[in-house]
Amino acid sequence: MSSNQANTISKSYVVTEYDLNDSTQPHHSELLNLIPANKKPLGYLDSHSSSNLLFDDKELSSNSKKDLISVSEPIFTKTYKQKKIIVLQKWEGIVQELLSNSFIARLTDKDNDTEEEAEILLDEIDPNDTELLEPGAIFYWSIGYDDEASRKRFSMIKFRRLPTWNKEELEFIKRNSTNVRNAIGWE
Amino acid sequence: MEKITPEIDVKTIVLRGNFNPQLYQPAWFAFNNLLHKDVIETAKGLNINSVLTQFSFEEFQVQVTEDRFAVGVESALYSEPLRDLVLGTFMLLHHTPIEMIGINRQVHFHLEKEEQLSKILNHFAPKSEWKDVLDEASFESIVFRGNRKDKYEGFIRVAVTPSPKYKPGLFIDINDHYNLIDRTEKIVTADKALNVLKSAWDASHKMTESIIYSIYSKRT
Repeated sequence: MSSNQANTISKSYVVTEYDLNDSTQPHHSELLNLIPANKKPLGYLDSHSSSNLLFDDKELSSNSKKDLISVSEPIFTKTYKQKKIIVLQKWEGIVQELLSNSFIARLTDKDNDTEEEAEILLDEIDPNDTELLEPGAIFYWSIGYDDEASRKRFSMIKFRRLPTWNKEELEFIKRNSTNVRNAIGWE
Repeated sequence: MEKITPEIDVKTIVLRGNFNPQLYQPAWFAFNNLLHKDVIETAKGLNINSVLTQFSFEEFQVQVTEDRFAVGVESALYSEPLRDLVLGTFMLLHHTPIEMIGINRQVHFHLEKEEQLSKILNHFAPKSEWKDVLDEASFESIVFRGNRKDKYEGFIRVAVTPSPKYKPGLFIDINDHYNLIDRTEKIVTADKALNVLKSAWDASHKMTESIIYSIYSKRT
């Protein structure tokens, strides 16, 4: 990409054709569908939701799409469609103990902060998350209805993904802290 | 408070500061175990260059430019994983200068009758007030902005409009905005944004629930 191109894209992101700070203009996302594509904002100037940039691809005419592409605006291209999920209950859990085909967890109800213990079958876990299953791991468990096509009950467990330190990194941190402690002269 | 479920419920976290978009690509998230390694192969809408990275994976949408980091999810089910993704990212990159954070929620309700929408909108902006100055005044949008009640600087902005997705429908857009800059500090890092996510997340969610409920309940 040439530097000119880069500048154009960068600039287009922070400059709006449709001034978002002008109080006479609508300045939130979903109204964008009511505004001609060539007058749509190219970005928000504050920490407002990025979903203001969520254009429904199907709702835009091909000319509108051309307008959008021509300004190289960064947009989320995924279309948000109706996918009504009714969450009946939500817990945050901590894995206590692993068993052969289940695990014991301490659950906190997200609505009323009550705690309980439960045994959960390993089959309930998303295969992508099995690598995260270990004592101390945190997970979120939701049950409810999925009304996308016809009503279905669902149960979903998602394990928390946060950075973990590996053995080498822990050794490095330990060495560094020892060096710092020695340099300061602490016992 | 009765539980209400919108047809569309989008939650996003937007950070404003200085970012290197090329860093935030699927492989980086996978390498650091913040997203499952499948993201490398299955991320959709992938676009990576020096000024923009964006992709979607499972329920997540990620978009990073030089001054903005935004991640969104479509379902309340992924609310905590959304927070964790941003937390994990900036726990690793905690020297990133972040000046503002917005925890945002956008919901669409499909209403049963047009009168329900009129009731809600009339509550905030009675049409009768306009009859002498505008012919057939109709409601397009109204935006409220209030001060924060917690220890943080910033504001809460709420926009209410008819939903462009549903007829009749209601759209509510909430921006829970935090200003993180303290002019007396010489170094700006990601720490304050991380603190907001750790300490204010649940309160922010409860606040948006209560705002949405309060507006939606005006339909009857």
